[in-house]
Amino acid sequence: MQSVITSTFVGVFFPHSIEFDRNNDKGYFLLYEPYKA
Amino acid sequence: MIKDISYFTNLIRRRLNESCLWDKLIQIESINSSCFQEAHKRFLYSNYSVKVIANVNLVQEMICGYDSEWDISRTSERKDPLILFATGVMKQQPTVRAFLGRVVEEKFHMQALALTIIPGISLVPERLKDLVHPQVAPLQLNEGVKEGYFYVNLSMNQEFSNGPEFYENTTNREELGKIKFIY
Repeated sequence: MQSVITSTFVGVFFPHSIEFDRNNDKGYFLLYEPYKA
Repeated sequence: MIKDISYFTNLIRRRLNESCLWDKLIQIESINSSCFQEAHKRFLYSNYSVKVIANVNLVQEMICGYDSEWDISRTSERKDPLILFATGVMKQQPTVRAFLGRVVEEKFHMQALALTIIPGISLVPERLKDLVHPQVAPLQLNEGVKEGYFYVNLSMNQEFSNGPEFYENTTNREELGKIKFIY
């Protein structure tokens, strides 16, 4: 299912984990679910 | 039902505190794992993620927006978790129900249109205060900005070679020895 409108996700992000695809000028990374207290 | 703006700001703030807690648990864990078993167990239950696919230019903007001296080629230098607002079109991925291990599941893929990093303030809930290891505790435990949280300043590079900060006061010991306490 794809969202029709844009949505915002707030997540935990680790800068060292970005992977770059130089050929396609893309960057990939994971945003982790914030921990629920 | 119409909710006023403060409801939403509180909601966002709570979200942020949660994510900060998550980051703090990892850091504390690396210092002392044994007394944080409970917290560790809870941390492991956080098990889904969103995969963000973004243009390199967008990532560069995001990094420069957070720290102008930081560059895309030096992303591996920083290991601290940050909090990121990612806006874009999300696409749900099929759920793999056999996935019950420690592997983080990708529930959504997002084509990002806007990325913003905000700094993370490390807050830990009050109820975990008793679990803080004495080696960690003297670092700095402050009352949090928000009620019910306290703040651990791990950036203070303090060593424990010089003992505790609170020494026993021995100056009045002799006088105190003479006083008879009547109960």
